[in-house]
Amino acid sequence: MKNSIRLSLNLIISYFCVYIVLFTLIGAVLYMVYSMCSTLVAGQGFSPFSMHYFVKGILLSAPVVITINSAFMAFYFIRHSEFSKFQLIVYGIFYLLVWILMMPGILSLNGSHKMKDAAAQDGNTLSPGYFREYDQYVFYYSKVDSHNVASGVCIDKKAGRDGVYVFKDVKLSRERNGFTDSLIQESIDIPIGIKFIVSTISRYSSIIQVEFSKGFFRWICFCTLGLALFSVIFLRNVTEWRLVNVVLIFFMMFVVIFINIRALYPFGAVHDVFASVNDKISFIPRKFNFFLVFVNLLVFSGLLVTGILIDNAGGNYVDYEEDDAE
Amino acid sequence: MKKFYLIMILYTALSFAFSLLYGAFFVNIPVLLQGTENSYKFFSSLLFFLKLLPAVFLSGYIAICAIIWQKTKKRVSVRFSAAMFERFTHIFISSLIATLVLTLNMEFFIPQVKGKIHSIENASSDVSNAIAATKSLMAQEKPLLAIQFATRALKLSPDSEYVRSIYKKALDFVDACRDRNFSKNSQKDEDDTVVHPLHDEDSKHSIVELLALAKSCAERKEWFPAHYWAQLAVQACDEKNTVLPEASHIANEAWKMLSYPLKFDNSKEREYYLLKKDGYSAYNSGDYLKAYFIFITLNTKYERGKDDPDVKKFFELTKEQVENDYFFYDEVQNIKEFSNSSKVYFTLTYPDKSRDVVFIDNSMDIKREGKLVKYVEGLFIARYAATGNFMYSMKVPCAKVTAIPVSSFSDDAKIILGIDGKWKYVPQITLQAVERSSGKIISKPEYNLLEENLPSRILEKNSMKSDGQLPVMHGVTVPPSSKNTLSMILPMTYDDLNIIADASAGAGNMGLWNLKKFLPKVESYGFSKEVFAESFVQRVTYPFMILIMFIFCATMGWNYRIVNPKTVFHFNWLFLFPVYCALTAVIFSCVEYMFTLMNYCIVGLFGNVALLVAFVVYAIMLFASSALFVSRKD
Repeated sequence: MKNSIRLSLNLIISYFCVYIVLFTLIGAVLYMVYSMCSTLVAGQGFSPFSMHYFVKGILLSAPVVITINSAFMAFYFIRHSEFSKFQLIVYGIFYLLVWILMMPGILSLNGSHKMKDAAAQDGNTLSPGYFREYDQYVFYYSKVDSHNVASGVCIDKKAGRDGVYVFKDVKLSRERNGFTDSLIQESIDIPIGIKFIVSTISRYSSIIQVEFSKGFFRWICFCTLGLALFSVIFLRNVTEWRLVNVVLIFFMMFVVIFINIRALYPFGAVHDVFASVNDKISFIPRKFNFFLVFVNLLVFSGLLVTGILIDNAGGNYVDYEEDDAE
Repeated sequence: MKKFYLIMILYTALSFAFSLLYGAFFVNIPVLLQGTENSYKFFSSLLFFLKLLPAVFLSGYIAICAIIWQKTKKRVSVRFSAAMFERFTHIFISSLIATLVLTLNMEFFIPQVKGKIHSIENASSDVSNAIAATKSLMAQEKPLLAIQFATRALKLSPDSEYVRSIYKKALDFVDACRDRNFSKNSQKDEDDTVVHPLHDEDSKHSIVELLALAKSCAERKEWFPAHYWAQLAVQACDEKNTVLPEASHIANEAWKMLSYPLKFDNSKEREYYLLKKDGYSAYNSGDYLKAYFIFITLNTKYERGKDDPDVKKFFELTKEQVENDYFFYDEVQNIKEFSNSSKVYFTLTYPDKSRDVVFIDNSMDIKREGKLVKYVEGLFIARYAATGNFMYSMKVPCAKVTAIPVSSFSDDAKIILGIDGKWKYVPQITLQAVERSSGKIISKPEYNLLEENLPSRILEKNSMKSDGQLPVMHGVTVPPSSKNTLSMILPMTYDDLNIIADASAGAGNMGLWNLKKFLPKVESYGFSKEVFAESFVQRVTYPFMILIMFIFCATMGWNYRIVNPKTVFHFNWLFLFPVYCALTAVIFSCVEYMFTLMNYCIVGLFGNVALLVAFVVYAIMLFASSALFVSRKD
């Protein structure tokens, strides 16, 4: 019993300190650095710290971290095969608490923080004296005035001998792709593969906000996502090879999140499918996204049953004792 | 361990095959020359594979570690046990090998393949540019330049009927022009050849006159002009002329008197005399640039110099040589075949804070008479005043760049030109090209005093708006009010020209050693210090990052190994393999990006000591990663 409680305590501390707090801090720092760099202009001093962006980063990354946390906790359970059902239940309770209490708390803070955003946007003009490449064009600004009107030289790299233009008084566009200075963007832009992930995350953040603002009932429906994600932990002993289990869990988590995002985001084929099914069920009020809730609960129950079956089949999570005689 | 490498190689080969398939079906082919599509597809898939390689290695590594430790006999019940340390040594060695391969991949293979793809992509636009240039040069009645571009187009695309017809037209044009010139031979076009008015005027005297002038100067003991006239007489004589021995005698006498150590009243006079002699002998031996600066010093720093008629005469003579410097056009003939850098751009700052923006379309290095000479094509220079206002721009089809030793300049000259005494060689650009046989000027610079507006396609593509007055049409030449010099000295060290050629191609494409050399002076050439420093730190710390990741992956492998030694490998697990690889690739991308951000912060915060700080940070992370592995237990 004592051992059990000790293990549970370890579990909870891990859960909070490492997985939630640490990951949120990492996410916040990344967001802060990236935002500061996007307003940077070549030749100016560099300062990556900004309280405003840091707090904003925390508020943005906390919900995301809490969501994907379930997978990492599942990995934790895989590694610590000494955990029994008791730990699982303890974890379940805390997961529920976090999801129902912590998430709304963070989300309501987010609203008030949004106001400061507009003020922090500085209009920076580009610095003269540098070569800046845009696709096949290279621009050199000999002077840029405060209205972002520039004079200088433009080189067209694809045009051969006559491709150099000396120009005067051209008004530059303020921002391209979110970066004030393309020189900075060159070295720090997000690679293409990750752009997709980042856009998904931002889409997810906006969805959470929307669902939260639509009232308590709607929020509870959204929380079925949390339930479905919790259930990935039942896959932890599906095969004998832990690595395969890890991949399966990741895969399941992505599928569940993907379905939910697609269904809730008001564009796209998946959304239309869900909406049409909803329409057919006439006795449910429109605001209640029934089909999605149904799918999530289905996933939850399906995985729960799978988990129970595997555990009862004798599973492989029992400590394997090797014979010393061998 | 053999099993380990075997599986790894197999896995790598499989992913290569996958890349080839991907390339065959999914690669966007831009506009290309005929016949190059397949090689483009192949190289694109190769690039895809090479970029995927780190993820392939890492995912394989985790899987293999997990498999190998399935059969482990040594159980680990405490952290930091000896068994784990032993495993750690195996891990570390294999990680090092993998790191080496991946670093080589990053620094060598990927740039090579990228370069190949780039040249295939550009071949098509290069050909159309060359053809356009040929046509416009034919219209401008410049046959020799036109044939050069036609030859280039033919070399790039020998199979195209169209290109061949253009080449034939250019050849015919050259012949037609030559025939025309023969018939016009009697009228010599004044503007068309290089002139040295003063020198030519002096040379117009008959030999007898020259000799008389020399003798009269010798009688007046004016040895400088005596030697000058006598020398001209010697040059004008052929071997059979009876006057030759007398002329040579006077020349030698004069030279002997010049070298004779005279008595001087004070050291300043002696200094002056020696300097004057230096200047004159430099002029005589053809080292016009050196002479030019000596005479400037004589003119400005010495009282006597201002009134000395000798100094005045020789200064003018030297000046016209320097300003009318030229090179022979046939030296530039094969520039494209051997061109080793193209589309180079940079800025230069002069002592009065005015700036030049320089653009070079193509350049080629040749060893000539033991010295390295650079020929550039499509040189464009725009000069801006210190305030940022436009002064003038200059365009020349071809130019020659030689390395002048800094020692040939006096200290004053160095200050005027903006040359740092620590440099060894500076580039001198000769802007005028002359045909060797006829002396006709083939190419010389055109000047433009007006700015213009950008064409609308450029404005649109970059979301810019034109804000200014009505434009002058692009390409219209407005003659400058004063005649500009035809040779220039750039305030930079000659070696930098080569490094800058690399830099214009991008920080990521520079050799690491060159990047390191270039870093301190990046800003003075118009490149961003942030970009180059970040690229440098990123590339130097890449092996560390990979090593840290491998050790971390080993930890993952241990954590998620197969616990039961009796388990058989189920083949339906292989279905998850694509998911697994995709997952690893994504995670690797994310981690790499996080390292990039971290490097960027380090560079931004610590400036010059950034590399050191980065090393320390990475060393800490390596240690932590290793500690994490060694602390594993069951």
